[in-house]
Amino acid sequence: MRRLAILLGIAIVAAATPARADVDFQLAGTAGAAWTRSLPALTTPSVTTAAREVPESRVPIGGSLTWVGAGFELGMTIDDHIVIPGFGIAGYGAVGSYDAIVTAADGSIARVRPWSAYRLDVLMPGIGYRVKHRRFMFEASLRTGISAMYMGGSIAGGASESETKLSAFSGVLQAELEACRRLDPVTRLCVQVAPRIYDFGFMNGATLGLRVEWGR
Amino acid sequence: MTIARSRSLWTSLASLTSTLLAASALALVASTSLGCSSPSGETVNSVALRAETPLPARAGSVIVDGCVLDPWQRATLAGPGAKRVLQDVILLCLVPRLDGTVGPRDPSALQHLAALIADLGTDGYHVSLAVAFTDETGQRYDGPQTRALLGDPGWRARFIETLVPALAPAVGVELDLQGLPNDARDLITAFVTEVSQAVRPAKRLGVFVPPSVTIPSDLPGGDAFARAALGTQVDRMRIMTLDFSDHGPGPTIDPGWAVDAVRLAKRDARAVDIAYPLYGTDFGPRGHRSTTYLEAIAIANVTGAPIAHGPTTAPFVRYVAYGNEPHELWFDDVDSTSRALAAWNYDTLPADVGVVFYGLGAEQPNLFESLGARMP
Repeated sequence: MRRLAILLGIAIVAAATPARADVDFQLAGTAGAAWTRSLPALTTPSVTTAAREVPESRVPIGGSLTWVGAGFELGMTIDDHIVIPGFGIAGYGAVGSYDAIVTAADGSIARVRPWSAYRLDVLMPGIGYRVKHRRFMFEASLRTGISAMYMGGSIAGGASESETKLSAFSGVLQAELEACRRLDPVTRLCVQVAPRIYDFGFMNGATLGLRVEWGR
Repeated sequence: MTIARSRSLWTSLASLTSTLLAASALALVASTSLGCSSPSGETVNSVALRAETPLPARAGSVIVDGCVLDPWQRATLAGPGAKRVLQDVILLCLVPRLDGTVGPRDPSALQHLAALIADLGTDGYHVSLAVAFTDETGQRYDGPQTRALLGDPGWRARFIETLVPALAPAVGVELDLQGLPNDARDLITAFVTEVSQAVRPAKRLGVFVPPSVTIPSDLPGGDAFARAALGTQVDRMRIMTLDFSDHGPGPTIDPGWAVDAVRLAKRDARAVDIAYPLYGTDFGPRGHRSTTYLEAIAIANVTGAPIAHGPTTAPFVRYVAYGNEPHELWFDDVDSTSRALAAWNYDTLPADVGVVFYGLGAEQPNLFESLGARMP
């Protein structure tokens, strides 16, 4: 009985081949455009004007904004199919022609300048899947992140105004859809569309980027 | 068959990918070539200030400088817009004389005043009479003189004795004490208390208060008003957030400054109003004077001066008047007024804060219709 148990154990160990996942790492650089459907309320820090001390306050903005920018990120794949988007960073600046927006900060009249806006996205891990066909690769993933948005503005104080910098922060959840063409064994040129499922609001924009990926 | 379909799908996706790559490259080049963003030169209201956004509903009053309404003022009050925005009309009409008697006293004036109040009542307005403590020119608030009068018990008794019958046709009285020194604080409190005891609760009592934003007050004579003590004696305290640019060209009101003044007063008084000017101010080398919206527009047209807008969005005109005197005329219009009222949302000022408009007849003619259309 004891011999049988030992034989069974040896058989199990022998049969269990090492479950070694095939892990590869990627580096990617993206340049492209982004669009925010509705600008969020931004926060102005405390500002001293000729009329008063305006406390830190939330300033409603509204309207949409188009951005251009670039970023880079790290990621990895498991068994050539499971994609783990890793950490990355992207910066965008407003592009286009915009109207000045008159709004209010704690009862004071304020102006914001959408054309001065910029944003920083810190991309964080997610999960996805990819398939390859000859020189082409297709990928879909869901990933998280954090976004910070900044905009220049001013607050009225009688006949003068004081400059301020408004900001807002938000968590990000985006879907990434990507199609790539391999240029060489470790380099791919891709186009990526990423609807922002949450970005200062639900379904509040998207990015479209041209992307170079290095890695298998 | 399945393999053929699969190959066809892959081929289509590959073709689409190539096309997208090319298009994205072009789009990226185009975006980059645009370089950066720029101002359009236009201005729009934010989501909270847009024309379709309802204005915060507040108790509305309007102050008329005088005992009569001209046809234009009466027509304005008869309009549906004014009826939606305003509930109270305050006629800045009563004046105490040197012996304490409150005028007007002649039967004809009293009869016409009563008729006017009754007429406004048919439109649903509650009419109060305000007492202006001016000197006999009717224009100048002589603080030292008023202080001396308030310190005279005989004068106060005569004032109250003649005030009560003068209020018969009205729902209340408002006291407009201006220019008093800080050491008149106890006299003002005692005077308001005596008036309160004489007229309330049969009639409402209000008091016009300077728009102090600090303790001690940042205004000359601002500490003459003991708001906490007065708050228990009056039904409503009107914080006169007007004439912000008293010493040089600028807007008649800064909406944020007005918020601070009302917040300070709200610590002491339950019911307060924030004031909004309907008039403009023309600043020149010889001083400043009040103007109307239509005069401002006429001056801009006659002199060919462009109408600019200040940081608070209040319009102004720089022009050269007679004798080559440079003038700067600041006024308010529908846009600047509605922006300020929208900026005073409920997060900024509680819903029980009312708005008192000063100077009926000086406003842009369609002001109340425009404001009324945005009332919820």
